[in-house]
Amino acid sequence: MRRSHFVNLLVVILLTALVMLTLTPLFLMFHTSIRPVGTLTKGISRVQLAHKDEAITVLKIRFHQDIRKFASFTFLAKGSLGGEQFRITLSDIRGGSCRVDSEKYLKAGLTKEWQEISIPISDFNTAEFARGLPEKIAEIITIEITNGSGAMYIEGLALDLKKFTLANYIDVFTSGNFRRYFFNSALIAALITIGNIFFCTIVGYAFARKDFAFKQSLFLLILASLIIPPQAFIVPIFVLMKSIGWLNTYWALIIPSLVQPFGIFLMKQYISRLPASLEDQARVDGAKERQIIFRIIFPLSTPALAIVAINTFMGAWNTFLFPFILTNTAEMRTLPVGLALFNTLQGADWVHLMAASSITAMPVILVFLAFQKHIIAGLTTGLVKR
Amino acid sequence: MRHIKRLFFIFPLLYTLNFTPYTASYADEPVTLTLWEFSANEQLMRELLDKFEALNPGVKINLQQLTWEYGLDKFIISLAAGNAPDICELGTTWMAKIASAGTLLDITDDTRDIKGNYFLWETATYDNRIYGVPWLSGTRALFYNKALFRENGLDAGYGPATWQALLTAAKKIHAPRKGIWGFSIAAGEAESPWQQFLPFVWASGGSVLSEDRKTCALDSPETLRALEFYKELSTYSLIERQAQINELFAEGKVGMQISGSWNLRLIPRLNPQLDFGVALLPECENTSSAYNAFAGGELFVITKKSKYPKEAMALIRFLTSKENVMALVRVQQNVVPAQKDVLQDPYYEQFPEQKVFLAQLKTAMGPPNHPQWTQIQEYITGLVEETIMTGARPKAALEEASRKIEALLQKETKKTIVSNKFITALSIAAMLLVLFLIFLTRKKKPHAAAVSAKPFILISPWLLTFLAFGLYPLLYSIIISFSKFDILKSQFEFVGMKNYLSLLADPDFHRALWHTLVFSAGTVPFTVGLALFCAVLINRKIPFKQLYQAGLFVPVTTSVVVIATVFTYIYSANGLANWVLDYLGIIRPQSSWLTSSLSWLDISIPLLSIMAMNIWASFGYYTILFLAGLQTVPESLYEVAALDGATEWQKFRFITFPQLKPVILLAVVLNTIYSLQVFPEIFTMTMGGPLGSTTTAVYYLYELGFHRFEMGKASSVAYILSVIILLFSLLQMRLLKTEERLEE
Repeated sequence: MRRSHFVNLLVVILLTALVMLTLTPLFLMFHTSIRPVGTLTKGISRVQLAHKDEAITVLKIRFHQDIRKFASFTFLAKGSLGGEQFRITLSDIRGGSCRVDSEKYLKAGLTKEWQEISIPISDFNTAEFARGLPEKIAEIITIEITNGSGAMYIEGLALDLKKFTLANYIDVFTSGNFRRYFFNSALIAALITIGNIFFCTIVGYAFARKDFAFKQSLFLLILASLIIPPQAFIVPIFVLMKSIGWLNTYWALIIPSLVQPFGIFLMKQYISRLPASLEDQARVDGAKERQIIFRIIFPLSTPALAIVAINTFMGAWNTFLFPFILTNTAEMRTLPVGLALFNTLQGADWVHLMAASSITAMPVILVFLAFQKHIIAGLTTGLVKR
Repeated sequence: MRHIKRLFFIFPLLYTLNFTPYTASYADEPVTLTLWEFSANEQLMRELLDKFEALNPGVKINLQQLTWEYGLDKFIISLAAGNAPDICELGTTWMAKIASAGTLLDITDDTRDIKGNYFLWETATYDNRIYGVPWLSGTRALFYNKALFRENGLDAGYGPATWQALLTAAKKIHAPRKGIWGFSIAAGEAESPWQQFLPFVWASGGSVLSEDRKTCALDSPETLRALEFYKELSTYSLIERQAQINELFAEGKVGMQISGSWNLRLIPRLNPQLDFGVALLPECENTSSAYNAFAGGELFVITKKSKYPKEAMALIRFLTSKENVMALVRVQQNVVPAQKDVLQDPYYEQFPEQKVFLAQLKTAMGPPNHPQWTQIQEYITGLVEETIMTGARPKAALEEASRKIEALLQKETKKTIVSNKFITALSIAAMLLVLFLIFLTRKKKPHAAAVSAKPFILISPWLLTFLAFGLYPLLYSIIISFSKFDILKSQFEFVGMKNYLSLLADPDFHRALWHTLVFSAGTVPFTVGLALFCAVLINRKIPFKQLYQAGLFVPVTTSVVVIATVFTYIYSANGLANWVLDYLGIIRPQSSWLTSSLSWLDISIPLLSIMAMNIWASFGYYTILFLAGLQTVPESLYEVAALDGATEWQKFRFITFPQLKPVILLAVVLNTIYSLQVFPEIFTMTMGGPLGSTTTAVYYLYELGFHRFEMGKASSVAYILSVIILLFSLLQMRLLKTEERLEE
């Protein structure tokens, strides 16, 4: 008994390590998606700004950063006479701006001694800033004296970045039409999954139980369609969709995938191993074909259907090539197409790319986690009963 | 039987839809223009288009955004199907190919008055006619890290002005032990390698094609000089894909790089702290060449089939006007106009680095406008990679490349033109023939079961979709595979077995097959083995079972596009994989794992890296499959075995494995099929490179079909591969079954 406990402990440790290893890439993806800037390996926590080290009344600095990603402004300042007040202005590329006045922080203005000043970015009224622009980028930071006749000195001007931000997600959702892509992907994946659950059972049942002409040849055709690389079909499918007027419609994305060969194959194998006695009994009792399928075959097939369901859902959610070729407008795009577009339009900006990737990946992960109990439970009970 | 007959009618019916007449547009109906582009921010572009619509009542514009990677493919497919947009953005290097097919509208007369205002007209010209209006320009300039320049005693105020100065600077900065590279050279991808190298050729006075563009002029002393210089420079360089170079440059690890204006925007996003400068490209000593930079760009073209060429031209004029281009430039900051008179715009006073790109345009030239350019550039990329990544002698590599290009130029291009409808009709005829043959074979069996209508109703959902979206494309592509089919020109000619025979003799195809087989042989055993191992472990009486199941399955749910993106990082030069190797003190590759040229028996590090990723991404699926299978093994078998004192291994060997055999067979066959068809991973990560070392069969298919426009040959690749997959599946079924019999 002891020994088996020990073995089980080893197994638990091994599996935990494996799972952690497996999840590392996805953890990296998520972690990067909520970071403000930077490449994946290099974290940056503050941005130092270079400026001339002299007495100033107006200081303009090129900044060119998204202010949503910053937490605060910090610098050391002193006045030449004392009592000076100043104003910090952030300007966007189209001339919009937002500002903060120093009265709020320094009642008596600057002193002749160095003073550390820290201003949270949230104090800037950013509602009007960069309105209508995809990102809240401050091109120029201006610091100017507003009150007092002297000049001011500034040292160590820096901006601290936030530790985490949702700005990348907001950018992704507002750029292009990600909400719509999301809806399209969900709709298409849901319909294809329901279609496959429904039709694959019926077709699988026919192949498992019925005897009909050309049965062997047709089943071989199903298997054959698994082995031909779908890339060979790009042109013919496009030409066909165009000629029946289905380009850029949901039909083109849903109908061809409604009954997939793998689902039929799986259901046929599964149903043919179910005992036929129940159906025979039902038939003797006068049950119709429809009732046999929906009352007997369907409930008995849940474990295999669980596999068909996740299979088709994942496939439909993640498919890229055909939705890209067959759709023409932003309204019809699916998430992977949107992601690929985002990828090229943004260049290799990892934080945004990972946010877009997370948005694409998370729903399927969540669906799986939510239903995994049922999926696994269905698998075990269904198969054991058999 | 009647039901089958009914089916016969449906397809001709579908086909007739093809001929439904176009509803003619009425005069009072609004004009709708379709515009495809991929360089502008969608939101900003829409704002501009709204402005145009307001100025021109009655004109509506549909905007569609494409991507650089797939833009050309999609445009070509649409042209072939007669579904192309009115206006499309085209990269300058694609122009000749598409203009030569006669699908673009000649706008020579419409552009006379604006000719003086733009750069890049020569890229819009084919056969002395103009087919496009320059919109954005895409020059490259030299980015340099000022901090690294200062540290190494170089003047950070200027970039190197000559080749020699460039080499000296690279030498000084290069410190591989510290992970610092002097210069950087793009390799292992399709576009950047040739775009960076050709300016060196031009600068030294060489050229790719002769004046008349009829012969290859690459094999010259000037080009050799450029290539030898490039090779010397490469010893002080990071050899990587452009995206990775950008990133490492932003991290301050690369002294200099040649890149486009988009970097001005990207670098501050990646690293706000980096102090960098932008300079004109260095000039070659002792030459009279006026050019030393690459001029690419984006043009707007009108397709011949557009119903509203006048409105389309008006829209193009509107979009390429100085004001509207600057509206994009100001906000996006990663594009450069193609207009000559924008230099005075106040924007450029504010951003002097952007100005460098406009200045560089004056000594920039584009690649020759040749219909075969898209393939010529592949050979030049190959030449660059061959020279700097392997020990190849520049002279020999150059001779080899120019031989290939010469052969390409001399290829005759006379074909018969047949419309798509012809192939469609042919496919439908073939479909009827197949159905008829099935019908005949049935008649020969006297004892076949009585035909009943019911099963056909039951299988009709599959039968209908299969006939339309499975069998029809299948026959269509089979017919194409016996022909020479240029989808761009809709040129079609039966060639019999020629495609298949030429593939069987094609060394590139042999390599692709070899890579595919290696991929399969290297992934299937590990994927299935690991899955089996995990399933058996999870099946024990342990806590947190669900957690493990879920944890291992999560990668399976993730889209390949996402996985590829994440793993590109993990494999990058300073990514997780190299970090782990460093930590363990193991020698690691200097470059990214995906651009390494290390290989053994043509099994390269990039191929192995993608295989590892594939195992990671798929084994969770089979784990769940095996777990389900394990539930069917009766517990009593294990109890009996335990009483007999069987070890864990014996239990696995004599109970679990034989009981699980059908599921294992399914897993092996499925995984083999998927791995032999591997494509998206290759496509998103390496595009078949570097040096073609990750080109698999399906990627080769894609390249033939959409880059070389040899659709027929591409289809034959599909069918040769299918036969191989079939053989493998049968073999596996046979092997696993005979073993079973032996045990009994």
